[in-house]
Amino acid sequence: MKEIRFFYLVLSYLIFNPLSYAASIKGVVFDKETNEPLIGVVVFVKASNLNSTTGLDGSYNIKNVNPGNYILTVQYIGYETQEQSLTIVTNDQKLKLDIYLNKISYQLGTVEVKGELDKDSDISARKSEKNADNILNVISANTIKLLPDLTTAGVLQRVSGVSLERTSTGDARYAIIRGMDQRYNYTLVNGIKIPSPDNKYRFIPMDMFPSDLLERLEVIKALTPSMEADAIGGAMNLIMKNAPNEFSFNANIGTGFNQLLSDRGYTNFDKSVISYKSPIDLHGEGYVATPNDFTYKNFDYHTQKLPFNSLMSFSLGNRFLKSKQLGIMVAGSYQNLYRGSNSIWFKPENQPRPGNIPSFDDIFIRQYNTQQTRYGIQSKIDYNINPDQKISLFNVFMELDEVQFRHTIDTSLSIGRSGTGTGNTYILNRSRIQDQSIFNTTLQGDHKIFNNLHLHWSGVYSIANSKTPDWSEFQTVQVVGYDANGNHTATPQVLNIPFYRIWTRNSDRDYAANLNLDYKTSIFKQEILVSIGGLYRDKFRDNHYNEWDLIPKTSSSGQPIVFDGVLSPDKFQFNGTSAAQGNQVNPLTYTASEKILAYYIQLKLLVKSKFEIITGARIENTEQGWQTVQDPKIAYGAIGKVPYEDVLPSLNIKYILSKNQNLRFSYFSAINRPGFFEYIPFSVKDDNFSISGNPKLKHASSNNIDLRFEYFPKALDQILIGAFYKRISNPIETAVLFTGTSSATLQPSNFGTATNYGFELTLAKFIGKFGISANYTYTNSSITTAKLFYNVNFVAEPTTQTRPLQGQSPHIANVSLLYKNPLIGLDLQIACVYTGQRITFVSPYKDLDYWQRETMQLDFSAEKLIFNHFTIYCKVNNILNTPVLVEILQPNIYKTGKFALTDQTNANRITVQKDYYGQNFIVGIRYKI
Amino acid sequence: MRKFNYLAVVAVIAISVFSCKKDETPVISEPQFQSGQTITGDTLKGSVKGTMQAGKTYYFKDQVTINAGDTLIMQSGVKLLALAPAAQLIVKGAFASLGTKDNPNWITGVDPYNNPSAYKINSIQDPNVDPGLKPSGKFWGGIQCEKTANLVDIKWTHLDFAGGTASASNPPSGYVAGADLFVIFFQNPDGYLILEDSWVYGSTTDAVRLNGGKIHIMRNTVEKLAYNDGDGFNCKNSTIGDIAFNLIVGTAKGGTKASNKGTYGNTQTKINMYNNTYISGGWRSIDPDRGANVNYEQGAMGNAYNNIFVNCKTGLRILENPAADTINCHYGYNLSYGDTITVVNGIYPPTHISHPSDHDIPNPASFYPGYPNYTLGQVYNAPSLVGKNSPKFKNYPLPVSGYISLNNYVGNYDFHLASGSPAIANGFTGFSPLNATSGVTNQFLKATITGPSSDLGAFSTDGKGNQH
Repeated sequence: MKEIRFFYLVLSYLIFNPLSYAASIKGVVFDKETNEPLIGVVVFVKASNLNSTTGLDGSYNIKNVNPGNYILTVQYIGYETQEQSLTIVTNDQKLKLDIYLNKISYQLGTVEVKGELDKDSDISARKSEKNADNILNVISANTIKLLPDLTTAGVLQRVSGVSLERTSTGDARYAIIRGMDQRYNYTLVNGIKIPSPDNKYRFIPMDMFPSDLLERLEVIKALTPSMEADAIGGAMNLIMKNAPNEFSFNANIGTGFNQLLSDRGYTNFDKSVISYKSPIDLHGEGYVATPNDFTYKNFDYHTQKLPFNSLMSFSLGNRFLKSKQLGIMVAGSYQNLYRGSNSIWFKPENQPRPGNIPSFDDIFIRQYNTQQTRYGIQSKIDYNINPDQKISLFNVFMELDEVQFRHTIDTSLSIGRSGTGTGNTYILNRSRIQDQSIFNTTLQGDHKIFNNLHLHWSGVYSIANSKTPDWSEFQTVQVVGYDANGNHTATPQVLNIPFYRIWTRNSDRDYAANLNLDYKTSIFKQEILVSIGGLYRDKFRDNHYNEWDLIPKTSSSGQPIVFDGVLSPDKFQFNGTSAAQGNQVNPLTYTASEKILAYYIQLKLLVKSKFEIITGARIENTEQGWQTVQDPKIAYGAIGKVPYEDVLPSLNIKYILSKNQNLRFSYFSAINRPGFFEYIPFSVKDDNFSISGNPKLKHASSNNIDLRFEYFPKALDQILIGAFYKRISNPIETAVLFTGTSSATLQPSNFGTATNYGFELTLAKFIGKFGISANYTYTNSSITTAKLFYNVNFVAEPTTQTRPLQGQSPHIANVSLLYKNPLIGLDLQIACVYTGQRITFVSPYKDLDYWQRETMQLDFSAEKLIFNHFTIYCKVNNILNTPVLVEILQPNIYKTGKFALTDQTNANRITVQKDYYGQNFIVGIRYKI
Repeated sequence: MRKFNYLAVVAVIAISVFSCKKDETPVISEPQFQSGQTITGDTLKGSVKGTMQAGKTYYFKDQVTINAGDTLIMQSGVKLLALAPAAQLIVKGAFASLGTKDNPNWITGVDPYNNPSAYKINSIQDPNVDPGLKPSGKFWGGIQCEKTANLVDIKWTHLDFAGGTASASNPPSGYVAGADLFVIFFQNPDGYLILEDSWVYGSTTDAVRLNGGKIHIMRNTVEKLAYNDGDGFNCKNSTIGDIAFNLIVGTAKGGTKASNKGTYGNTQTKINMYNNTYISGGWRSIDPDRGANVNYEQGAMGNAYNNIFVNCKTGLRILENPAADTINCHYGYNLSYGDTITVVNGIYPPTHISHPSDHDIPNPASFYPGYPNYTLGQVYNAPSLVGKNSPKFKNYPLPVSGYISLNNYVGNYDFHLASGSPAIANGFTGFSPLNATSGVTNQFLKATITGPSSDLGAFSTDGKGNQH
């Protein structure tokens, strides 16, 4: 709690600044051309040491001025320096003086380099929001730099209407936009859609992208016809850094640690012992493996007291040649982070007690230890052949490697249990590495064909890879109890089944080509921009899954062998030949393809300088297909092909109320395509359900309406008030279905119509050195899916239940307080994220969904310019060590009794999971030219 | 007003194309259907139907399918011998193996059929080399039924050395490739499974797994079941019927188990387990506290009377969490015998909610402190019971020699009751069999019910019990 006290001190000092009584000069510095306030402008009184720097609202204030004649000098990079004479007459005079600066503009050969606003800046972000064709939110690099977040996922949670799903070590990973979970959103890099390394779904782990590579992050909430249509929730556009007009170099190095790991240490295995090649990869299909084909060193764990995180990044950019036609930007990032979590999980029995009362099997006490290594490199080369012809080449490569050790103590509430402190006790050690990467290269061109005809094109190649080689977990079991004298007893530990060794790998490869033509003309004296264009994408998935299940040997006396603590091949065997062949033919080894041909027409017209209208329609032709390695003569659905077509109209109207006020209306329709995995007709019998894919799955489609009022009073200030309504037909949910006369199956299916509506409010206000920015989103969604009710007669009856969409919180709020003092180069920020209660797991049984309790996360960051070009910074994440608490909202019968569970505090909610992640501290230094 | 005209035009255009779409027209590959061929030669392959002639020997080496709607009958004295471990019966329709006492049928590997003494070891043997138990070396892949299988009717048939792991190229319905195979897997809650007077020797996991079904499992002899993970007869949700007069020797885990786990149909699992003899059950289980003989779990109900438990690792088990349908689980009149202190101290396992019954042998009053008061979870110590209350089988010397866990075979032993056995005339007959297969009425196919006997165990002195 020490950190918090410190922040209060800093804050109170800042708020209760000493007041002064001499005369003062104050005012606002504006750009003469745009009338936008300028931040960080140095204003000083010549031949004195009186000075000020403009704050976030462009204002300056020079105090303690004695009566007399002065010359006020105003200086700002990129602007002409201005001097102004003034006279102070009395001691209590408060002179108000606004200053308008002229931009320096210069011509370089034939290429005009406009005095562009720094794209990284917050003002530029506000401008993008204001001038955008559709509804979006923007976060600039300057904001990102000051945010406590290291990854794009972390940054996303600061955006209005966005909440994040976290990993087992507490890192934000998947974005939920306005209550629509990750499957309904897509990710763009520089406007180009990229594939996901995930083998089940098409959404992207947003923590793959280090935030320091971003120039800007846009969250687009309404689509125009020129955009791809599979974003019912929204699209995230990651704009990477562009070549600047003059030489620029940034570098950053930092280090830090995680409080939880510093308290309990960090334990993991050596990644290098893992073989990326499975026995099948090494010896070919049909190979009958033996226990000698596997390493056991992946269970040799080493503990470090306090591993230090390291962060490094750089960006380098310039423009070359005589007229600076060639721009090159290169940026790289490296993060090596050690994360951990401590978790308690009460594993609900899949089938409840009669009367649909939740029942629990096991208590899992888990420790996660994860090393995350992120590499990111991107380059952008643009070449302006002449002012009318530009081409650019953009490359990005991101990799996220994880090494994870999960230690579990599993106490059975079901087996061997005679009371508290007894029962079967299992120790499980899981060693897993996962390497995920995305590579994208895009060649783009921009050509003016005639005066009013423009052509944009792009050619795209992307590949996303994921590998999880030799994912394995071994376990031991013993029963703990009492003897007749009441003394604790424990049977010796023996190796338990299963001992799986799984190799999975998958890749998604995309080729895409985009062509767009813009034609500017006018009808009825109104300017109109007609755009037509098309997209062709060819996507190919290659997915491999192989699993070997070893079983421990029985002793020659026909009993389990007592485990001596050393794992070795002689202790294991296979139950049969096909088990030793690693499931070589299974439906999860497959290839799949997706071919999309899309074209659109879009009209953009400005009517009477008041209405900006964008309308049109997009047509997307899709053909998804797959082929598993199974024999199609034997296995149902080994080959499949699903073609469909959508016509997607949209209408965006921006009513420009005034220079700084807009009213927007938007209607668009969108779709959601099933992931390949969801089609694949695998079928696995689980204890309670069959789990299977669904080749007959339909894609979902939606109609969406948005309204937004925007007010941009001053440079950084803004007020956005919006409302939205979405109606989704055939939403895809994984739910339990009775197929035919018997057997319930858990499979992805379409469920009628879902609705989702809500409103958003975003506020930003800056006064002098202080700023506050806040947003709030209310969301209400509803979907009805199939469920089971296990009645008092021990029969599971099919029923239905209406509930919010998974991951949707009714209330999401962000507040951040900023202090910015350009004079001394100090920036401080406290950021708070509130995420309301939401469903994290949909139970097949009625009313037994898992709800994550509302959370409040508090983060802090600071940076200070120390001397020329050098800035030191610090980030503190998760200051409150906020736990993730997951509950079943049912009367809590587990507070007392033989099967009582710990951490039960509420009579109407049963705690099923409680995870802690600890605070993360980072300090570093940044260099900027 | 003019601007509103524009708006109107645009709106009309937009709405006129409002959400127009062409739905999916999926093209999904269907497996080739091969119509069932009447059996002509001596080798079964592909899809088959018809009759296997009495006394004849047939062979199979791969998956042999009985299509939905088709029936395959094995008359008496038929041998169906596997030439390769991939040999397997896939039942989508009806299958009947109608052996008789004089002319039993066999489904087994060709080698163990021709040379039984090399495979059926009737002495103490390391399970890692015992052909009945060792993980590798199963001779055929069992009888795997799909949800459409409406009848599996097996009488006087030896099902030996079946199991192994599911085929990689074509795992039977309900399995993933590489998964352990059951000797019989039945999964139709509306279908019938009759298994009577038959033998199962050796398995990889459960001998019979029932994910639903109307069943009748009587007078069978089963031994050496599962290497280290599996039960004898394992019933899940929507299974109803009687398991009685079976001799169950040397199971890795429980002998007979009923659970309402799963969602295979819409009936509560209801299994009677009576007059069975369980020998040396539960010792190979890795999990230290699993069942060893009679076992009722999650939501299952039934009557468990007149059973004999000899040297089973734990006593009759009624699971508390997730709880069996304890109100409708009725049991008692069971005889327990143990050669070791562990066995006798587990007659009423403290980790379960099985209650002692006045009519159990030994009488709980003779050793349980404070009886008739019974405290759940209370551990007792009854060394005086070791080696006492022998059921007095005709030929089964007690105490056993060597490890109990290795006494997992029937061999030349005789589990009939000798005169003076405490198991004689101490049984309970006040309940009726469920007779769940009464819908099978054909005189050749229908089940022969044996009601509860007043003698305990599978071999009642009236000769109506187990006929082996």
